[in-house]
Amino acid sequence: MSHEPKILGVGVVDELGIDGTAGVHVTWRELETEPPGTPRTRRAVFGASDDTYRRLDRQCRTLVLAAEATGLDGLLLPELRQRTALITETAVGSIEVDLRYTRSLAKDLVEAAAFPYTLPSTCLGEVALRHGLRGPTNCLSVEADQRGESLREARRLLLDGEIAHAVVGVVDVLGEEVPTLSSGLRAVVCVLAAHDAHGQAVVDWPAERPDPFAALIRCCR
Amino acid sequence: MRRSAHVAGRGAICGFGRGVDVLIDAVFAGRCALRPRERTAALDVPTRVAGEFPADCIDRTSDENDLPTIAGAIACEEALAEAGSPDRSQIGLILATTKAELSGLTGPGSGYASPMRLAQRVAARVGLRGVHAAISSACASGVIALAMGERRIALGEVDRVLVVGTDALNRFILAGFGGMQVMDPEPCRPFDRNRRGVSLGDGAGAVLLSVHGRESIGIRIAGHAGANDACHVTGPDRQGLGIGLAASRAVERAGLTMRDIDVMHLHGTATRANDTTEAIGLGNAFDGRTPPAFGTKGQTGHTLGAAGTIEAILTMAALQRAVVPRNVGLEDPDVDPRLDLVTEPRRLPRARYGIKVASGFGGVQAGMVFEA
Repeated sequence: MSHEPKILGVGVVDELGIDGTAGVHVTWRELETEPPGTPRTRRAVFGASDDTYRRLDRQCRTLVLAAEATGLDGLLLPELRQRTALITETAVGSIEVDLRYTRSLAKDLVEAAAFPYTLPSTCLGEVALRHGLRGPTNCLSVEADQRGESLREARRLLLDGEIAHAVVGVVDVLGEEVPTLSSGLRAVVCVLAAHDAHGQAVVDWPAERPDPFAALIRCCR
Repeated sequence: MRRSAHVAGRGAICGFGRGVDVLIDAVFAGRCALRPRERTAALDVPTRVAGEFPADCIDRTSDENDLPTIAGAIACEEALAEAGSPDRSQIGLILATTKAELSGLTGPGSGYASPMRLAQRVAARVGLRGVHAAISSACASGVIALAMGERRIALGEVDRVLVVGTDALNRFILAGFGGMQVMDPEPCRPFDRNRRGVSLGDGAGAVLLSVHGRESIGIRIAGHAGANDACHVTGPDRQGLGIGLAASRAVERAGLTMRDIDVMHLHGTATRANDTTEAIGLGNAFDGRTPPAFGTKGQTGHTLGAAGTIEAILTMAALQRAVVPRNVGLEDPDVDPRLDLVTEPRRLPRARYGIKVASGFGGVQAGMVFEA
């Protein structure tokens, strides 16, 4: 019997659209907008009113939408979310906001509101506050050949008994050419549970594959 | 049975200079490293002071963008030396930082704030086996990185791991805090009625963890936990819920009760919001009067990604010396009185367990219990 974590839900946001095992499947063409959408996209797709969504940068929106697409509020009761971890990995970090903020410095017009979002972990906070996730939070930095570190780190926390559930994934958003970094837009998020936790797995544990997130994307589409 | 992670070596560099002993002696003597800015003097930011690396402790010709790498390596070398120079080719690195290296953002370099690339440079410079992980989880990063190292040892993945937190001040960082209007123009005064915001500092702190008790300096990690406020990305929960959760969960994971904790190192950034809510959250977590508590950002400045490791080292020192140093800058506390803020050095009747707590943007919280 496998003692690997159980994946209860998956959400994907990329240049095609938004897909999730909770049932959402919509393209940006259908939404008549460019990825990752407009300030109204979260409400339009998920029916979720969100007073602060419009302040989010592209990285935050991409991650928030992907987390929503997992259906995590339906998968995890509020009391479970009190100890649910939130762990992501990223190769490009908060680079878009970094560039925007740096350009503001060059003009001597400091964009102070952007500064907190120059930390790649801030977008995790945007997910945490929307879903009441009060467990450990961590943002891992990875290279392109290190995919799946967030999954493996979440498994450690599960094995160690610190948590029974986790929201885990990758987010990389970069819309311009930057040397040594890959442009693109993608967030893949899954809801994990300990192997013996309540709930049905939607896909096998993929963390040992070269591109574990490809397997998660396939299960959504 | 869960394997223990013992502290085998420590290293540090900060506004007081190079060396763990320099750091500890200065902090416990009540000195302050927040001096008029020199390296960053030309920057127009609303503070006169910072805890910059003294000019004589890092090569003056070093590019500012290389400081996190250089400082991280210095701290790592000292930690390895204290541990008796184990075979470093068999030891991997876990690195914590907030903004890593920015040479590509600010100029023609290749640095785009990648903690992993910074970690690879530090590991290569020190001659380590490689990098286990690199994180940027705001100002709780250092404690979280230590937790990651401890967990790898506990689960049997490694026998030793070197954890380092490193950050250096630059225009990107100073202008950001300045623009948010959270900086004290003078040395910060955590928990004081007249506090006006943060002071910042350069820093790197390293801890070598080992499963081998014979390599221990007399300290082990007894437990740790993370949490999230889940209420706002920059402001803390008004009841300090997150930091209280981190503290109580860390104590619970250590198999202890809150009454077992003998000393606490605070986050204490000196913003009005942080200090107020931290005191409430910890007062609630300890269900009454907390253990004697101190913070050191009024002495080193807030060293960002290095704060967790540097302040963990100071928590260990409080246990080893059985003394809690005074909170420098604190004259008139106006926070929840359940937080036992030490205003004069205080001898500890018992010094077995200490806890370090840390917070960061994004609601990130962490707590770690050390046992002497």
